Amino acid sequence: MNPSCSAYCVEAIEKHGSVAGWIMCCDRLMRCGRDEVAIAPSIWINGEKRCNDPVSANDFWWEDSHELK
Amino acid sequence: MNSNKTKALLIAVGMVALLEVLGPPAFSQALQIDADRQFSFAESLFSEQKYPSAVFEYQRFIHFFENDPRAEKAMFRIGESHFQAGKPNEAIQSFSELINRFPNTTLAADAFFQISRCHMQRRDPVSAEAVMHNLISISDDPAVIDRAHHRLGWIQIENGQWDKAKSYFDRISPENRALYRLDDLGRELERADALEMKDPTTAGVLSVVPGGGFLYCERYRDALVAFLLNGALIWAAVDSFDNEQYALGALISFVEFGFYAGNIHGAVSAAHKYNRAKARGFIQELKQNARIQVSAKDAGLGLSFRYVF
Repeated sequence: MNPSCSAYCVEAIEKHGSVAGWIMCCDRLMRCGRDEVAIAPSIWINGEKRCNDPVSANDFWWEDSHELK
Repeated sequence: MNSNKTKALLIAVGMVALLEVLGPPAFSQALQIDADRQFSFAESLFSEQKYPSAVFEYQRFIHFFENDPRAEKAMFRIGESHFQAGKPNEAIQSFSELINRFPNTTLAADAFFQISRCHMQRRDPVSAEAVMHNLISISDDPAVIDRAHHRLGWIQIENGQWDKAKSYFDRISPENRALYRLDDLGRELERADALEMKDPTTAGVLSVVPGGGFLYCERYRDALVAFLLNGALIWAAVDSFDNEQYALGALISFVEFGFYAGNIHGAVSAAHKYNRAKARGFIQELKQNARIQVSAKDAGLGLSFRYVF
């Protein structure tokens, strides 16, 4: 997955604070490498195909739930 | 001495005379570039997709031939070049300058549509909408107003706002409905209400049982992991407290809080992702089925656009 789980957790905590960031981190750890791989878009990094699952792909609905982003 | 000086003078005069006979050297001939050649050169760069160079040459054309009738077209091309080069901010500035310098022309109206397109490329549908509303308020041309309403409708489609899109399409005048294939588009938009969506609230409520929300969103492996992990942590916490290992129980409870809340957040997020993917797939299909292709040409053609946001 891209970014890695640790990088995802750091970004989530920096962006949303320790509590919400910790919750997002746990969510990511449960999803890592499973159904998300088949659903999320792919990205090529250093010749390797990875599932792209950044923080922005998991909090887009926080701001305005009725707009398609 | 005097004879040496005389000889040197005679040699110098002879060389000058020889140069006059042979003609001036090639590098002293100035290259004449007129407006036609400059504009043609810029156009060739544009057609070859050498956009940064094209911008430079169009700017040179405008600088030296600012009163040429093609100055407006050159300004439009600068905007197009910036857009094609992936610089929407510069494109917006160029199109805005055109509108300020040549208001109420056909190319000025086209510039409004290009600015709207630039805002969509910047993922700013609000500004894209605002530009179209501005155009509608200042334009007297029914064809331009219809085109703006059509663009507004498609902006709403991109946002997944089907009802708003329909309301904009309904404002298009009857004589242009066939041109925009609005009957076909209307039938396609009717299908939007039948799209199978997941309710994020339902996903959240079902996540009270760990994994329930993921199961609802058809994420079976995530559901299994959420159920097993949360189940194990809850069991471990309860067992710790039963064995009076309160510190351990508190620590496990803290970890379990994160995973339990994460299970709820993940399920709600999964529902939103599901709905977004469904809507995007529908929009792609809509564009395929309702594609209207008209190539953007010179001023006066009107109603020429290709929907590529």
